[in-house]
Amino acid sequence: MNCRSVYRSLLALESPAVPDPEVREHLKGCSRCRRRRRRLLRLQREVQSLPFPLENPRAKACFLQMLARLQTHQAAAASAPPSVRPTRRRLVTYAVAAVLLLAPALGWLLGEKDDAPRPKKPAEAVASGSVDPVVVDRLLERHLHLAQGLPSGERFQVFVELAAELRDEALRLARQPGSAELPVVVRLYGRIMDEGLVGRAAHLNEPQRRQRLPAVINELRQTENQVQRAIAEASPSVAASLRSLAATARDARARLQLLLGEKV
Amino acid sequence: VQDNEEQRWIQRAQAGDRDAFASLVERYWSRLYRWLQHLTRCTYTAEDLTQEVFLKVWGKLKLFQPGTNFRAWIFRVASNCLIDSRRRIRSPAQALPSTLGNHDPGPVAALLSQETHVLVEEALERLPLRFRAALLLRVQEGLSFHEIAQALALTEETARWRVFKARQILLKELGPVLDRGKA
Repeated sequence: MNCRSVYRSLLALESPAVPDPEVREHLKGCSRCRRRRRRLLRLQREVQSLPFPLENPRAKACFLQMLARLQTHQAAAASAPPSVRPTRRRLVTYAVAAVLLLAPALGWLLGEKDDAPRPKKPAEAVASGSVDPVVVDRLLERHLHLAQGLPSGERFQVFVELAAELRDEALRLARQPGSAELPVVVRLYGRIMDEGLVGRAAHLNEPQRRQRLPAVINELRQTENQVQRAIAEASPSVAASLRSLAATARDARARLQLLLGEKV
Repeated sequence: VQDNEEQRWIQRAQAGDRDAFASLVERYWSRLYRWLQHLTRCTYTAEDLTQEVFLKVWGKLKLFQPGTNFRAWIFRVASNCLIDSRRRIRSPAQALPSTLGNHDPGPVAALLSQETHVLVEEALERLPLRFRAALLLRVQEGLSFHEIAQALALTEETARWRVFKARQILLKELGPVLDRGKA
């Protein structure tokens, strides 16, 4: 074996610390290859011993806390009266697990501004009880649906429902003075609209568009009206968030109308 | 290597036992977070992705076949989450935060060690993502080439090639640095 093939063999080994007999034989008489091997082993050790990055202890704690709470909700769901509608009961089943959704879902947003002070994570907010767990519950259920790889029509429907939940939650939060979660929910609504609902609508085929989009456009129009009414009664800071929500709905409606070939 | 204890956790978690799932979370959280942090170079994104991975694992755990390689499977989920997140977020990579305050080996050794760590981290950062992902799974997580192939949806030969390339590039960049200090 020459030095080149020995070097390549070392680089390709699963464990360079245990070379083949042929390579070992070469190493005995070649100081250059021994030095290369020493460097490779040192590299392995250095990479291995890189310190674990500092973790936010709350992230895992929140996740585990929510997991624990899920058990309680599951038990509650199991003992729910039979009159509860199946979908609703399933929502209850997922109640706290839904919280798990908010972290990754809102992570889409929060991960973007790493230079800015990070707002309290919604997962933490939920854990401390400041966000309606039922809403989070529904969000999780939809997130799970999305994770299960649905066909595009069904995915679109999931985003429609998700957007409606977020709109309702935003309107609820708007009635609570000084809600820190409102801007976050509004931003998530914008993201769901942009990357979810409108993006997914573009993937619908023509018959699907004709079948599904008119109802959504109508709902978005109603959202605009609802939010405008809420703005009239809101404080300036809340009104700013709501205006942003209304603008998102208006923009999404216009884009969906364009997809249908309608004039905007 | 999947020990018996882990197999029991998986089976119980598949049957709906959240405590067993919590044990899996405890076992894999830091490892996934470290891997994702090295790949995303952003602590917040890595944290969100780690949560997302466990959310998906929890949602799909029933699809996992007992007796197959859970470690490779969970890193496969993480790899898919990372790919999805890179599609979603096209933001520039963030610089690695300093995490070098954890050791206290004495002033001179610490200085050398820290300097080497910094250089190694910087060189890792410059590695193409596909090589970095494979190398870290091999070196930090101890996955075999076969497991890396499963985790990253590659052939075993490609996994071996990526680790090979990563080592080759790093050695070329860091060569003399690796000669100094303690060997």
